[in-house]
Amino acid sequence: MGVNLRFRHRRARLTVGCNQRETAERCIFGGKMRLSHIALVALLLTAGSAALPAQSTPPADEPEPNQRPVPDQRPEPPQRPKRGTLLDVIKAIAPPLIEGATSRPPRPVTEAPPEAAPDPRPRPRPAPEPVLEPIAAPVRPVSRPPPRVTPAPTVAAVAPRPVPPRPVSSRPRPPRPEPAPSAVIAPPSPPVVEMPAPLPPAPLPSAPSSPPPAPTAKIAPSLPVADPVPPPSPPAAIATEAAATSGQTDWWLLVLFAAALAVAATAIHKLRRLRQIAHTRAVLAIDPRLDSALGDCSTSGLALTGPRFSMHARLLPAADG
Amino acid sequence: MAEHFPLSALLPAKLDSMAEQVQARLCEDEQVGGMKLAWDFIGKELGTALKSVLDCDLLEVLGGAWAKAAPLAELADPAKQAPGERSLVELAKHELKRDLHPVITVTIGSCPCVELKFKYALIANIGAVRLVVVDGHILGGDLGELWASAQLSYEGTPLHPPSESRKLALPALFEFAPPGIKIPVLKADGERTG
Repeated sequence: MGVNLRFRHRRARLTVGCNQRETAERCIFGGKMRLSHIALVALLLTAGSAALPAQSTPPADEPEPNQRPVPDQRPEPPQRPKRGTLLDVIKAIAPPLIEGATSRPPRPVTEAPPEAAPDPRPRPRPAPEPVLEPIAAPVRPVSRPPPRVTPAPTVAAVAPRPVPPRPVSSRPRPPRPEPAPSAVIAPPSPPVVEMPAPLPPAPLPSAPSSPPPAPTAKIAPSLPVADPVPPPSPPAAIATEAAATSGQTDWWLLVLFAAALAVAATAIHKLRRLRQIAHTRAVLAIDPRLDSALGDCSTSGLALTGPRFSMHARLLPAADG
Repeated sequence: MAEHFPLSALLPAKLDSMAEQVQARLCEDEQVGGMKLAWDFIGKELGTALKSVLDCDLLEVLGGAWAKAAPLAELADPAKQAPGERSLVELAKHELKRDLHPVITVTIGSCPCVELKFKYALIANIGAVRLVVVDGHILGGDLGELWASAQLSYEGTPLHPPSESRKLALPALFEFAPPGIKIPVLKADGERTG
């Protein structure tokens, strides 16, 4: 279980990282966001990254805490809705800010800001109960890596992390309380647990627990998808990937552009140089000569080593008779 | 016929400082100084012109110096050497210095031409040489050892250190193009003719 939590925690962090990068790229390349927006997003991301661990933990707890640890780790990663978590967090932290941009669904979400919705807080707990069941089902199927699952102690270590989330301050209870699995486990998983829940309540007109699922309605689509098969790529995910890819493309384009500039500069320089040489050649006239009249010559130590040797060779006419 | 050993072969391959000095000299004319010229190109052209002027054969230059030496003067006198007579003269170790003055006239556009005067100082140390003289001309010879170096300067400023002068491996036997190098005739008053 502890391992499971960690794993999710990591994934949540990864998701946050992607979103942050995306935001940065948008800011840098797209120029679509204003400074105030950037600051707001940064604030939300920071708060969200801190709150994420709490959200990710819950689902694993509800179902059977004993059996899960081992099978849960591997199988879930692929099915988990990675992108939805951040949105949830942001909604939970600053619903009023996001409302306008995202959708109307009542933000009374489970973790609504302290001041905004003081009443609904008690509800979040009841909601997790129904949700636990759907999550447990998908988790079971996968059960390959039994050896890895061992960190029972880690649970304790992981448990403290979920504590940070301020809204559930009253839940500090450790996950130990197995007697009441659903009730105890509910606290740590307010946001994530609710995701699956929305489906069942959705059909229902308006149950008491409907508020929590309603806000997650957007994210819900991704959750149900994870259960049946693996089409986990909500628009948000695609957008994130596309943004990341476009960021890399932009960098490549930048490098290519710089290289093209360098080549162009070199070509221009060569062209200018050729022109300059042609111009110089056209106006330049050179006439070299050797001024023999000025040549000086001096010798030292020049002397004959011996008498001159001369010879004169000639053919004598043949003597007749 | 011996191999050709040009005087320019004693100069370094690159004379970078020449372009700078020539540029400074040519830019004294404001009109030239205002023109955007490829001075490195001009420097290369001057270097090429200079080497073309110094394309003389080293041994011919040395032969000219030997021809003016006193010991060979009497060989130019027909009275002392019968026509067709072949004389062999051996010269002991000696040093020979010869200054040459290449001049390059440079004209840029419509500006008045500028004469650039260089000095090529040749120094040769000859261990021994045997010369063949026929009819008052040095036809060739036989060299013992020879070391030669050269220094090119412009208006008194050396364009390269003397140590950069190259060393040439000269052949032992050499010949001059017919009729050879003429030995000037010594007149009665000591002047040379021819």
